[in-house]
Amino acid sequence: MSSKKLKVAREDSTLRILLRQFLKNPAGVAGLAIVTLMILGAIFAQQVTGYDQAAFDVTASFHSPNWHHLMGTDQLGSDIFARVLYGGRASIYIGVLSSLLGNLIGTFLGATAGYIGGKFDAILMRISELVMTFPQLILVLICVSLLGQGVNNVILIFAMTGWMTTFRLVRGEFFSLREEAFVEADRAFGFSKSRIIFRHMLPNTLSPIVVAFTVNTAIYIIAEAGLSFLGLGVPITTPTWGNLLAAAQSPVVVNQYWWLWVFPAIAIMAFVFGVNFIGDALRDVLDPRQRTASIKRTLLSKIIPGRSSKKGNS
Amino acid sequence: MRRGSCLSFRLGERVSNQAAADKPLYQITGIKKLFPVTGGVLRRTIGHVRALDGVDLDIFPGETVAIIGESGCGKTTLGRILAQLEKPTEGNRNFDFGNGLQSISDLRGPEEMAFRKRVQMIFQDPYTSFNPRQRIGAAMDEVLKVHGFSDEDERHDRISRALEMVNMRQEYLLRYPHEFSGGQRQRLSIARCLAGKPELIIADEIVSALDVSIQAQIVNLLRSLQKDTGLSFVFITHDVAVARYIGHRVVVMYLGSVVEILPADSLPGAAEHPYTMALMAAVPTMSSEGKPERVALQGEVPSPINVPTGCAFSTRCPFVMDICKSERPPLRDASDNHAGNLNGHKVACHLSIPPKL
Amino acid sequence: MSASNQEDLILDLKGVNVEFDVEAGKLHILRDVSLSVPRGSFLCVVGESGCGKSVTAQAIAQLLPNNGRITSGEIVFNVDDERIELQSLEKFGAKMRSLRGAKIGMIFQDTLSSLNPAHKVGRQVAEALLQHTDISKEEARERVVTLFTRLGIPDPRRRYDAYPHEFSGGMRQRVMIAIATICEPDILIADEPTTALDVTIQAQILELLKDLQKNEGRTFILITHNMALVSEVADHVAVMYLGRVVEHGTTQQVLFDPKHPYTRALLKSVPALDADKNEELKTVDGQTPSPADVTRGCEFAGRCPYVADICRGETIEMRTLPGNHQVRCVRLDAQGQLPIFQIGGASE
Repeated sequence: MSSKKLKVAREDSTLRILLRQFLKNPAGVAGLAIVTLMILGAIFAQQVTGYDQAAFDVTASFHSPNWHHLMGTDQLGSDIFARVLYGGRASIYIGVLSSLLGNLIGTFLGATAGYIGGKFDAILMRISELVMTFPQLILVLICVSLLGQGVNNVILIFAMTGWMTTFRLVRGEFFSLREEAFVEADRAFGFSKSRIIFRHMLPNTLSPIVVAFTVNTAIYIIAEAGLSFLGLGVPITTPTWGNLLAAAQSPVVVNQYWWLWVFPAIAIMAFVFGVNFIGDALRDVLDPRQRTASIKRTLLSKIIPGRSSKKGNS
Repeated sequence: MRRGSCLSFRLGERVSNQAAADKPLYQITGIKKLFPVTGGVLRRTIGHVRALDGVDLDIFPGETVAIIGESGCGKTTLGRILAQLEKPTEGNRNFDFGNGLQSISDLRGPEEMAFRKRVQMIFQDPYTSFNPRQRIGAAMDEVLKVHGFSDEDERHDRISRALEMVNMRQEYLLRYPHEFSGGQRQRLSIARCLAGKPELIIADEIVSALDVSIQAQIVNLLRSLQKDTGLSFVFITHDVAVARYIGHRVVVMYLGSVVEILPADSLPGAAEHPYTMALMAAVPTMSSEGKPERVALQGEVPSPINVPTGCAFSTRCPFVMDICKSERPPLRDASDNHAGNLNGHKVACHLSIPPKL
Repeated sequence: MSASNQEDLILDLKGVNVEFDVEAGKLHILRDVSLSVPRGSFLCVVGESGCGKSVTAQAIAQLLPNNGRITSGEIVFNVDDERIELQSLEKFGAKMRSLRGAKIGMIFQDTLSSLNPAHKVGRQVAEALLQHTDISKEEARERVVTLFTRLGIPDPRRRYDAYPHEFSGGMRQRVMIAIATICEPDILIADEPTTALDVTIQAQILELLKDLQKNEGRTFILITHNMALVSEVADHVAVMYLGRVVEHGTTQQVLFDPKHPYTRALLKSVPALDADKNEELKTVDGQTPSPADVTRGCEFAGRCPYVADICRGETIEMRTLPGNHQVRCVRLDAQGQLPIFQIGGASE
């Protein structure tokens, strides 16, 4: 019956369409492949490499890459490959969750500030500016010394010091969306504020938010690497890419035992690349205008001057 | 348009335009709207934009009120206040829910929803009138849900019939807004309103952004909708000819005030206010006798921040008198409105005898 | 294809075709456009969105966007006893640049984006003058102030130093007209100059343009979609649809004795100020198709109430009726009349 048709219309098979579109994008597929491989590698580090990342064998200390240890061994004889793969667990976990949490906070605050405006918005803006202008590294270090080290603490700290960019992004989008006719129409129809904000405006800011999410993931992975490199992030008992990189603090290692830090560095780069590719592809895919628009329509809008002209003075 | 498909509106309970003209559906009096202007380093309020400076208007069931005026006249602001998208700074608003006029100045909750079910609005820009991420059907369904129609089949029914009324196919429900042209989107906007069976639709420049032939389609549609459903319309436009064609009455606004209200049929000849006359004279007309002698109104509309004291038109009126500069003329019955009908010809001018241009 | 040979034509377009390069290939935007413009006349080019009227103006001034090209045809500009083929000139070559502004003036619709917001308006007008003539800055300033006065800009001396945003829409349009006319060009092309303006301001601006035509003998090409406006200012009218000129003649001919079904539909779509309210606006169903969708035969066939098989065959040629009234319709009989019967138009 036709009411089923409406039902179908409501529960968007958007996901399926999006997926199909995404899979047509070469960068996206490549990025997805890299990221998936590395995550799988992180989970199955032992199976892939055949070594337990924690196992050590002092007789095999500082071996350069060879057929037994594809990425060589460290001081304790632990297999670098296994440690690099395993280190991905914490790094990826921190990167993704910090970004997620920061984005959630930023989105929520940005949406409400952007829609409500006025004093509420002004206050939030001042707070965000305060946090932004404070030198970020110092802020993070202060928080670390207050909260202590550890994976979850790092996530919390990153989210608390990094929500501002998403906040401003979403707020900006909301300011311009507020003027659009469909938002006004929603208000005229009596939709509640929360319905308008979360069901109508937010989905239209999805694209920048998702892109921000991927960008931030990459940023936080690098940030964590930096922190742990300085010994201030995750304690050395939990291997992360940053921790592993910390080996490069000694010039001897940098010169003679290059495999100790080159491979973690490559891992970081590879994952960040992958995430960025996914972000780009997602951004291309998430705009409904590109999903089903016929070529002609896109053509017309390009060549007809004044097509998008707004109203005259009235 | 198929008559059979028409939704049954509350025709029986309402009187038509011709009969008892003393039962307005919607009545506003003394509406003023000021927007603060901030300036200076500390962003203090340095002045006000007088968007509306004391507007009275009655809207009757089954009629189309066309509001015309040029930039700064406040017609859009008036439309938004009528649709409860803005609150006036001053003034009273009364609406007849079925038991006589009652104040709607402070509506909350279920009463507000009751109002919004009855009074709806369509906007100028067709390209952003729908959520780009929502299919048309879903968008229309949501409106009905919010308005309290819990039965899914009933909603579907209403939506289908609304689509028929605007001559669009059912399969359009599954499409996204960007798949439609501007004219089609305006029709869909109209359908979205119709599904809930409103009593009054406020249309703010809904055809201005469309091609002339598409405009004509929409105008024809609105006229036939009104004939079949008895809906009232407030049609805001800057196009004088369209206003006269589509409206029963035409409201002429200037700088936040209503300067004249006349039956549309009597335009342009019966105009009594100098501004209305100038407006009529300025409209290009197709005349095979050649170009008419034009009375060009000089100068420009003053800024709504500095509305002249007295009559707003006093700074440009060719017939200005001293009293015009100090006293605001009230909206009174015009010289041909002997019966003093509420919905008759009114004018706000100190001249007791209408001038001849 | 063109007017009688005795007429002094300042501009003569012959079979101009314009194509745009887009992602999916090429779009044929202007199809065999031929227009002859007698010197000192006022031509209005009318049509709805997508008809190519703006592109025609751009083609004449050689200001097509980067992905647009004149693929064939001639644009002959006769000025100062010289016959110049505009389409053969380089867009930004010396010759074309010397013509633009000095001989060919342009007025656009969107004044806010056509004027540089960071420069004073006086300077922008003077710049146009200084580009093409050899006078001093002070002399230029004087001329600009004089022009401002003529164009009805109050307090011209002070306004010379004002910025675009300090002007209202109508005033800005006058500034645009000043820029376009300061070098006293022979021909002025105005693309929807009054569309965004209030009707009373529009009336003032049109007076101005008509004045310039009558008193200074300038030729005008006005692009608009407003038929009533056309009736008040134009000497000749060209109606365009999907890149083709479908009707061309004097105002009296095209507006009061229209022959092409599209022209007739367009005219009937607009309610006159004294329209009969009991009659529905007779409009044409559907909407303008995309240029990519056009197939053989008449572009209007899909929506025409008089359509017949013959309309879908070969390209329809322009037919010249008495009085040099040109119509591109194959359904007209020997006397130039359309058949009495109409078929119901195509529906949505």
